[in-house]
Amino acid sequence: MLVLTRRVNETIVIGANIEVTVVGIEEDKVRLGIKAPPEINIVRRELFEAVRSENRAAAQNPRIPLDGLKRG
Amino acid sequence: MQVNTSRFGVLEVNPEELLTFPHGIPAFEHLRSFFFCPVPENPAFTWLQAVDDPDVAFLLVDPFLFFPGYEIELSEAVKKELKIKEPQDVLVLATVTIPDGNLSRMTANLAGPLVINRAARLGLQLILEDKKYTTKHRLIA
Repeated sequence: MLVLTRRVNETIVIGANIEVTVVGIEEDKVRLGIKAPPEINIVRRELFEAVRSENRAAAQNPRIPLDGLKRG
Repeated sequence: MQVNTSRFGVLEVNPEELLTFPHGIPAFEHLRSFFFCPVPENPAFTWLQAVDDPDVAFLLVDPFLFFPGYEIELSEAVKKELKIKEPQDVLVLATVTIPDGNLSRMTANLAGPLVINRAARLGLQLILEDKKYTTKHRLIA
């Protein structure tokens, strides 16, 4: 993994059109600003992992009668 | 065409009804081709069966019926990727998980809705960076 040191308001550039800027640092939190083309999907990794793991669980549902189940 | 499924047996599917997910679905990136298998006893739900894996089928629910305040915004990039021209062509569906087959514990994933253009037969799973929604919302209070 490439490791770079940046200060607040400093930026790195990835490829031709992605920029990541350190917007703020506070205790153990870093706020990042990201500029990227709209087709690049940006999400926190833990959210992506949660969706992956939920998909794995959802793919294992048994076929089960759903009559009687109305909106809650 | 005939498709072998572990839940529904061998099904005859019209190839024109197939839906393509060009990037697959996270954890199932290798599966690109799916089709709907209706739930006749409850039209709020539908199954989405993978063509190339008999064991992979997702139970989907219309999230707006169960979660009236639910809303998502489709970016221009998503509209372009799914070739969306008319809003009425868009289906938004949430995957459902039934822990241990226990219906009273079933949850819907509102953080990762499936968005499908039924005219162009294209779909994707959106991942919403919105802290209001999680992968597990109880369907039965």
